[in-house]
Amino acid sequence: MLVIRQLNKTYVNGIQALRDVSLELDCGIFGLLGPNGAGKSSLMRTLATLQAADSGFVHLNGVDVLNDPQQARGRLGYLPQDFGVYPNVSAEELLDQLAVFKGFTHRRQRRDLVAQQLALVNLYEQRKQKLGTFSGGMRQRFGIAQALLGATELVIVDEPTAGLDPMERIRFQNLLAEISRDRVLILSTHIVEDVADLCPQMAILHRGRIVRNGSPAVLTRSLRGKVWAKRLDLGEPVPTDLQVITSRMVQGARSLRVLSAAAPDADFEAVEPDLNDVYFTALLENIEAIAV
Amino acid sequence: MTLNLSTRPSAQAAIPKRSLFSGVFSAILRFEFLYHLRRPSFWLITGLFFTFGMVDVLSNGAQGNAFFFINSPSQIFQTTIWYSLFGVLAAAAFVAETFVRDANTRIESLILSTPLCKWDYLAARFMAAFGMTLLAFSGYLPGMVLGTQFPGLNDFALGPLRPLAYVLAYLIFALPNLFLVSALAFSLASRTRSLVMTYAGSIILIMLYLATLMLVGTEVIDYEQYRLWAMVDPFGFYAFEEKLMSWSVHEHNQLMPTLTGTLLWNRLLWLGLGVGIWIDSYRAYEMVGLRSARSFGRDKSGVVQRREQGEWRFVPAGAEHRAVDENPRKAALLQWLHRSGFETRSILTGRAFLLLTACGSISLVITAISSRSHNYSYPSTDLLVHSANLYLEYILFAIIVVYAAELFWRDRTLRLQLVFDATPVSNGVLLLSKLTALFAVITINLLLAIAVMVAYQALNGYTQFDLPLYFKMLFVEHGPYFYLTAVLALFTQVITRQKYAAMALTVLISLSKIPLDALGWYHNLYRWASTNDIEYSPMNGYGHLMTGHLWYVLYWGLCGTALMLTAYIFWPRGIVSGGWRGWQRVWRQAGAGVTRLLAGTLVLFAGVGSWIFYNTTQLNAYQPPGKELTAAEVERRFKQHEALPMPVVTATKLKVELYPQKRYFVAEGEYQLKNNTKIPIRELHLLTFINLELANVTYLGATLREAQPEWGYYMYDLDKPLLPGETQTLRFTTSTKQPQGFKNQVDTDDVYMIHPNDVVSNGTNLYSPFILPFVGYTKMVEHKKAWQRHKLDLPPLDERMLPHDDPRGLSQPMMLTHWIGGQWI
Repeated sequence: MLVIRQLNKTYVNGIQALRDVSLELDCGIFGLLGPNGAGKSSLMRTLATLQAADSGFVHLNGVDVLNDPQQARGRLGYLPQDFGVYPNVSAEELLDQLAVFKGFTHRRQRRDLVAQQLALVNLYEQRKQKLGTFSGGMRQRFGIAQALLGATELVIVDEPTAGLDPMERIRFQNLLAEISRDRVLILSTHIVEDVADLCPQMAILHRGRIVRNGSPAVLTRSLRGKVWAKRLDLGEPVPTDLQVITSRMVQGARSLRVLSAAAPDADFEAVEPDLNDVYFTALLENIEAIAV
Repeated sequence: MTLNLSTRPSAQAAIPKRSLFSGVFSAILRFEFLYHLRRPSFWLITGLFFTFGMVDVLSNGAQGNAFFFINSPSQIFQTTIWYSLFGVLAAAAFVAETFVRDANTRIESLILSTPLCKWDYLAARFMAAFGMTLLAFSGYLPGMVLGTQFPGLNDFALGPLRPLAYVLAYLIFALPNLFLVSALAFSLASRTRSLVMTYAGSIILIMLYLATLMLVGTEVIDYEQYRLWAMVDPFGFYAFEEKLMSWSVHEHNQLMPTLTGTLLWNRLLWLGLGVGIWIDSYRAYEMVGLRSARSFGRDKSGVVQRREQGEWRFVPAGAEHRAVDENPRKAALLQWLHRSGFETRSILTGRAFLLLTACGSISLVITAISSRSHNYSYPSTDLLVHSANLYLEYILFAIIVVYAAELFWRDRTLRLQLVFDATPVSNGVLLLSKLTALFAVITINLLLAIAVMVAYQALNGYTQFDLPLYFKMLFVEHGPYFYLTAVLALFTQVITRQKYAAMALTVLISLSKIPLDALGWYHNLYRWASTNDIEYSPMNGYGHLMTGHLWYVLYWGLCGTALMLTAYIFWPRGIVSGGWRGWQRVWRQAGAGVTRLLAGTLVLFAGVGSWIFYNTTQLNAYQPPGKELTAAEVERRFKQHEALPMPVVTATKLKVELYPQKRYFVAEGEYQLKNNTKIPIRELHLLTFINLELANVTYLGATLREAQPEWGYYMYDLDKPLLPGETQTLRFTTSTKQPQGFKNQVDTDDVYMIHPNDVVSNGTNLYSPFILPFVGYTKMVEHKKAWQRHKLDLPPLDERMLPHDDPRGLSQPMMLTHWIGGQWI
């Protein structure tokens, strides 16, 4: 169980990255959605003990993450969004090194663990191969292998499916689902579908604040009856008096989705809301809140 | 950071317009210049050459090499050639970087897919990079000129400022040599896109130069083949030296070398080769990216196979997933061992290290050979280590600074650091393993030096392999400096968190001795990693000098420990917030154990420092006047008595008691004094060498009128004058004080390292003028080089020697007390 309370962080340049962030996470995948610069990475890095917070607290199964980072590091796995490898070192060797860092100092135990871990992500046969020769997908799998080393109670993965082909993405998602059975797994992503498919719980972060928090199904249901769609012909202006959720080109015509308690006009039809609508309405409200 | 080419100018370039310097060309040129100007490397390298030029002039000018001008044309030429060897560094930093950059930053495909023409792409960038190389290299010029303007330089070492000499040296040597190394760097970098390979090529050029050094001969010059070998030297040093071989000091100072003969042919040959290499590489260059060596194909087939086979298994966390509970100290120890092994392996298996090792071995052989030419001796261990250390002091120092930066920044550059930082490994393990890897590199280099030198001895038929002495000299005498440099280099990286600033800071701290020397601040308590003067002698070993050395090593070792503890506390873990608040937070978070350890280390450091201070300033004078200063003062104060008639010594009896363990002596002497002059002698003057104590002077009827023990001058009135031809007996005791503790430096400018009156445990050398009193003022105190007399503010010696038949000379001792009338007594 991961408990986050009133987390605040302001950078030296004055940017407020986290504002009163509070969350309670149980075992399972927790999706963290948000636009660029929303504070996702700041939150992930704070949870991964890589960055200090100005105030608030984070408890992981009774361990005070902020004040006892060393203890917390023994229980967490971290896969950064953009990480590199030693190009001239084999997968086995680097994983072995990381296992040492995680406290596996017994050679035999470590050897078994590394082999098992590489088998888990299907890299066992390429274990002697230099990491510099790995493809993006292999590297990502290596990343998850290292994040899962040891008895991790919290796994933090930042944009893990970016750069994977559709097949690998599905496998990766399945793997994440499986490993999250008995631990907290935080998945930060831009891809709304990833969260919709995978996460029983989620939160939307915008400008350092949690603007939505709950199960994707419940959040989606809450918009039922409020989302209306219409196809605009080319050249037809987008109405300015409506709360537009999305306006995008679909097969040569503009497809408009708006938020409204009732049908804005006869041309609009009611549609079943999806997680994208939840995401964009959340950002929409927030912009207005700030504007007011 | 790369070319920002909008499509429009590129499109223009595609039009076959045969102007060599089109708009695109100049746009690229401008971009490249600005790009290099923004890089700290440019400023760092310019600063380095500037410092080179200035420091060189300052240290030469302060010492003064007799009557050679340090800014004579021939000297300027020599220095320019010498610096052009280091131009290799600048060429790698600008030219090689330019042609490796696009491949490394993965921007190559973007640029190569534009309709940019080859001439604009290659020639403009080469021109810019070569220009930057020249610009950075030229830092030595203002450095040298400024150096000659410094106050306090020896006047005899300074000739008039001759700008033409700087210009000619630049045109004949700097320009062609830098073009050659730049063309080679261009050739190798554009073909291989690898910096390491480029360094290798440049090292081969330097090796050619060193090979000529050996072939020309260091001891006996091979005149028969000299011209041939002089042509082989790419930098033109020996072709130039040929001109100087027959020059006198005056010619050295006055003449301007001319571009004729071997020198002209050498310059034409190597400039031609440079141009050839450039044109060949330009032709061979294809405007396509290098095929990547990465074997994606192999990987993909494997993945596909397994995809068909099925699943990624998941094994739930079991007992084997939990690290065996270990004593945290033991776990940290094992982690440190493992990580140190990993870090060390990563350095040792790198191509750069192999090249450096190969280059180092050859350089060591050359230093071994060069030790022969100025010592005319068997290749004995101490001589070889002495000359090897000259090499190590520069090369090993550079290796340490470079690898400290590499070790600290590698994981950050590879974007692997955050992964490491999220594991429970201690900062101490991360820091110490890097230090251990650096220590391993140093140790390997020192062992390599031993291996090369032992092999050299064996090849020369010298079989007295003294391994303990090798270890003592390299690891105890010289080693601490290198290990401490590693500590400093790592500490500066941790604290500044700026790669180049940290490297510069390390170099700056290490070079701080030069300005401190200029200021006359010699105390080793504030000279980084310095210890008292220490030198091995085959007869006496290190003698008593080792004691002080070990105390200083302990002192600096404690300083190093404190630096490492500080680095541990401020080790940047994760994303570190800058500013004062960030530093404060880190300090607060440091455990009480570490801060207590740091405080304890600082207390010990202060304690040892105080003990050294007590020994070097209280028990022993910190900077007592040396022999030259004392002699100058004696001359000023007592030359007035030179004309007084004095007796000469016709016989000496001496009983010297040496106390080697306590390092002092007592001498009881007896002179027979005879009046060789034609007038009665009414007073007797005695003059002793510095630090010599004179006592129990007995001479019938003599009373001490005035004693100036500080200058060793004593004047006695004689009750009864010593008449011409008469003889009398003088008895006296001379002794030195038993030395206490140890000194900061050896305060002598006479016998190297050993004070003239020092009694040592084995092999004391006593010389009568130093242990016996002179009778009367002696001209011996006046004998100095002209520039030294000038420096000490003494008038020049116009009368250096009297004619053979001058009656004054015949009646006076000229050199020694015991030398009279042209015969030894």
